Amino acid sequence: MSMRVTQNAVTTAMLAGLQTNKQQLSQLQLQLSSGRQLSKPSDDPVGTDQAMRYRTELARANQYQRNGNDGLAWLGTADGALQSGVAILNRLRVLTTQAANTGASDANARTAISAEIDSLKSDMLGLANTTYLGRPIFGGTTSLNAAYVQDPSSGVVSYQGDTGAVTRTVGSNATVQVNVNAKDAFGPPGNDIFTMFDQILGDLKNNPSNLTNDLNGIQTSLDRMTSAQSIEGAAYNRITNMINLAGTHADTLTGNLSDVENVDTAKAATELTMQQVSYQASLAAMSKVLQLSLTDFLR
Amino acid sequence: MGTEFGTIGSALSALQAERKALEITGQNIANSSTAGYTRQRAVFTAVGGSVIPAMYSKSDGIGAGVNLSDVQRLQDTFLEQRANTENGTLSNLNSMQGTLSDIENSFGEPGDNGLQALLSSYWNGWDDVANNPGDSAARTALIGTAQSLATGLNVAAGSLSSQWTSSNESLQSIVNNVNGTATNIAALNKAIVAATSAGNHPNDLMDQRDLLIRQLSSQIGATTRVNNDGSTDVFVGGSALVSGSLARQLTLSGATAVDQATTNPVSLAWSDTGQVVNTASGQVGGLLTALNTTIPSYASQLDTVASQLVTSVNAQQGAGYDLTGAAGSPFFDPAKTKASNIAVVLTDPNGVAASSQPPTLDANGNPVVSLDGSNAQKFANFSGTGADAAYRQMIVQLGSESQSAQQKVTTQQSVVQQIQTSRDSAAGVDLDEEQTNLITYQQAYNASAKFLSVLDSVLDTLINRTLV
Repeated sequence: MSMRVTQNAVTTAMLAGLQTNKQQLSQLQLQLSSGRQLSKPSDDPVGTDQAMRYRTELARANQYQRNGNDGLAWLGTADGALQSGVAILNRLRVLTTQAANTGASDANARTAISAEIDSLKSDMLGLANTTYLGRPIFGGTTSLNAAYVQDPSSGVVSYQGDTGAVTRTVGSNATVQVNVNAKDAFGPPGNDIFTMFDQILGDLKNNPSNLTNDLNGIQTSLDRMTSAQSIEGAAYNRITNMINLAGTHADTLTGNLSDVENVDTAKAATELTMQQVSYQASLAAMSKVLQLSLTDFLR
Repeated sequence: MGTEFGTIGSALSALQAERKALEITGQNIANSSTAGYTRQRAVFTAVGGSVIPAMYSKSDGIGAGVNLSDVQRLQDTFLEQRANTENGTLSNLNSMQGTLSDIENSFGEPGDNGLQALLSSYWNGWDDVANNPGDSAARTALIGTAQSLATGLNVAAGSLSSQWTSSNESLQSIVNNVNGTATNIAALNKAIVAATSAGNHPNDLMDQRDLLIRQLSSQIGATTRVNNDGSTDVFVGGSALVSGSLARQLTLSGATAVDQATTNPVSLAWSDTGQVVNTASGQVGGLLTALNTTIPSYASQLDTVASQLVTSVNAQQGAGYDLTGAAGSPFFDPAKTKASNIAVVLTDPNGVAASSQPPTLDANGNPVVSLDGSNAQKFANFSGTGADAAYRQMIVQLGSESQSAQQKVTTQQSVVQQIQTSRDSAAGVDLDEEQTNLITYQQAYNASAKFLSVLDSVLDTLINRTLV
């Protein structure tokens, strides 16, 4: 049976076609104006899953860079302190050598050298108590405000920090220790750099002949400090690498996220033009067809 | 053999029938764009002579004109019923799709402001504390992000709950509407039966009734049965909603809030018998699914996210030591593990358990807390797992469910569109056809009038000119 075609049927069908066209047109316009092709989960459930994972990872990658930069600042502070420490020890070696050679004969010279070494000791104490954001960097994880404390009466310096590790998370499951233990940089408590200073000061006063032996102690401290510097240097490199890695990862993730969420403007603009053409065509057809009726031909 | 005056009667019957047919055509044209109008057609029957001969009454077999025996409604009952069923399915799907897309909108994912972003910034806040455990600014900021996260969950749960309430309200108003429509259909049925038995053609009443039935089928998925007396019975879930001139009523009972929906689902029942209506079609079916299944399911998934968050954070918090040296106390209120009531109980920034080292004693025996940040670092590992994963899973499930609902709606729309076209094709008015009919009936009327004037001149010849 052939189908009867009625005016209403034609109008309804054409209206439905027009609406479909208009819907697609508005969808494309929405995509182009918002720049997003994924604005709600149902637009692309799989893409949503990816986008949400990318976003979580991206937030982490940015945080890793933040953590790493904070670690670098810590390491920079520590490196400056250790460098000054090396300079102090070099000066100490010069003074001790001088005292060992000439000191025995000249008590006045030894007093002068002793005064300078004393001030070097307090410089060293200052360095050992260097802080980063109010926290002593050689004090481990202590909450006290100084790693070493000097007894005001005896002048003996003792360690009050702990051996805890200070770490920064710079990648998924990647943590880097940014502090060096005080015993690695300044020697084990009881036999540390300040004991050495006290030894030299004592020898200057009472036993100048032992000063030559003290030079060995200075060398040991110097070795310790430079090796601490190289530990810090290695951590610095590692963190720099991880920051770069996190940066690259963040760039990749941003690209991926954009691929999933954002609209391909060129493609959408082309589709929009095509859709406009087809919308115009259906409008034109509608205006032509509905004009005709038998009424036009009956007298 | 008929008499001359008898033939005039036959001409008159033709004039009357054609005029009636013209009226019907006029009615069709007038209603060519009336919603639910079914085109009508005049059915002519030739009035034959008596074919059974009697002693003094014999017919010559020519007949005595025409009779307009019926005014037909050109409706395809099968198509009508099919259109009702498919319309019911469409509005059912539409309503379910609407629910899902409302839920989608309330979560705002994927985006910079959704719950996922809040979770990420909370975990990142722990890293800032780990970097600087002694800094109270980082600790305060962490508690701030935790509070925004808790509020975000509260708001999401709140919007699901208010969506449930507004769906329930619209269900109530649709059911009221259905009850009213059923009463109207019953009244129309009564009028139609009365008119039919009086020999009238209550076609316009039937159109009105069918329009109401169409409305009912999209509201509640009603099916129909046409009776011989012209009335139509309407069924919902296998039981009669309208039976002839009698209408029954429906009532809603059950949960009044989303958290009661699983234990005491919303149900639709007959007011008179109390029997539950099992209907899965129409808007009512869609809303019942939304109220009893869809919204409660997402609400409970959101609760899972909240409870995982509370459990995992509090456990890790308890494994560490805070800035006063005490073991970590709960971060989130352990008694409030639902998305609707999750709350931060930790108010003191020093209470954030960043350290995994207990305090040590200094030379004088005083405790010294550790500025270790390794416990805080462990929180960062929660990112992307646990609550994050549960939430992501829920959003992806929501997305696929909503997408599949949209596709079903699109498919069903084209089915309905096609049936609508077929229905229009059978019952709709074609103006070209009506105008053709107009000419036909007009010419027939003219010819009958001509016939009458011929008869008149025949009689004139016989009466006035014969035997004068």
